[in-house]
Amino acid sequence: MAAASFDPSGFFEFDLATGSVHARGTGRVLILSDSVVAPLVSAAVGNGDLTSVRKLGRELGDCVVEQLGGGVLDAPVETVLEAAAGVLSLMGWGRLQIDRWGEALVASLEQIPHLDDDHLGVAALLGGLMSRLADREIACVPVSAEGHFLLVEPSVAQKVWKWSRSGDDIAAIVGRLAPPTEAS
Amino acid sequence: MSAAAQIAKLEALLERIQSNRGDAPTPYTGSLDAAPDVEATMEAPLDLDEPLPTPEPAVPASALIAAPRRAQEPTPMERAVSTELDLGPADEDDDDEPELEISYPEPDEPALLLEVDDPSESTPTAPVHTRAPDTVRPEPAPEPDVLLDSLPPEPEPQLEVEPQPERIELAVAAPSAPIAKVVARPKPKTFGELLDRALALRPR
Repeated sequence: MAAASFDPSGFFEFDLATGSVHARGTGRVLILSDSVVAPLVSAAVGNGDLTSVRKLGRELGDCVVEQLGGGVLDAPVETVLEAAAGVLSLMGWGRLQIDRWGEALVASLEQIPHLDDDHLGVAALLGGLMSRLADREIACVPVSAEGHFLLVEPSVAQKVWKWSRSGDDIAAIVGRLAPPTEAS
Repeated sequence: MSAAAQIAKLEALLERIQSNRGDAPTPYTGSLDAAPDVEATMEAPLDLDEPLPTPEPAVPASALIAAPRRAQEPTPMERAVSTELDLGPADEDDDDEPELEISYPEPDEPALLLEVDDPSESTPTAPVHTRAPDTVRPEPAPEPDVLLDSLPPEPEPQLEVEPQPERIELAVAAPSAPIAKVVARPKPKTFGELLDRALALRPR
């Protein structure tokens, strides 16, 4: 297994004198327990406004971009994803995995924090992260109860969400998607 | 008495019986025809001057019945059958005919054995047209090759073996062109290409 290009050393800076924590590439961060964050995320889901969570994801993307030194889109796939997985791990959001289902991308998080029943909070976080990396809006739609998210264009997100809620598994959902040249 | 002697005795007896055969006896009708008709006698007066009719001589039975055919020469089998038929209970009135006595060989008596020295001299028992030719001319010995050709083909030995599946060999189709069209593009090299492909997907 090749060594990861992401080096987590010195990612956090604890200033005990001032009582602040800073992450590399970001501003001041707070260390919160999931039992505190979960009600906040659930409330945002209930209100239908996950903007704050999505903004948090973008900030994690900034961290990744800083780690990579720019040029994310032209960077190798593994380099970018390893950096993103490293940042998420340091922030305590679980271990990121990316699977290719044909042309589709499915992200999954191991040891995902349970913030809401449908993982919509984590979906918003990942959407913010990937949108920052791609420099365009990306929707991460939960497609399983085990923490799998399908990366799609935002205009397709609602339909994929409906398919997932109706019981379609990942294979069925991916099978319903096609490149533009083959789409009807 | 030996069997040959018995057969000779039976044949002599049959000839004697054949020679003694005569016309069958005819019933006597003279007395019935001669019976006077009483009523006719009463109506017609008897003319004593009229000469009495002379009765016709009796017709022998042999004239009314077809003359017995002259029996053909009986075959030995017919003789044997007729012997059995004529050997019924002996006629008590005919004291001249000897009674047939059939004696069975005693267990101790040796059985009759016909010793034939030369088979060709023995009396043929099969009909003439079914007899085997008396003399057979030996055919010239054929050449070995001809002999082999004339021999009937030997049947192939049939071996009983367990039935086993016999697969029919099929030729493998050789494609003249690629059998599949590769539509999958090579893996994306960059993160941007990866995202572009994923975000381009639309519902079918």
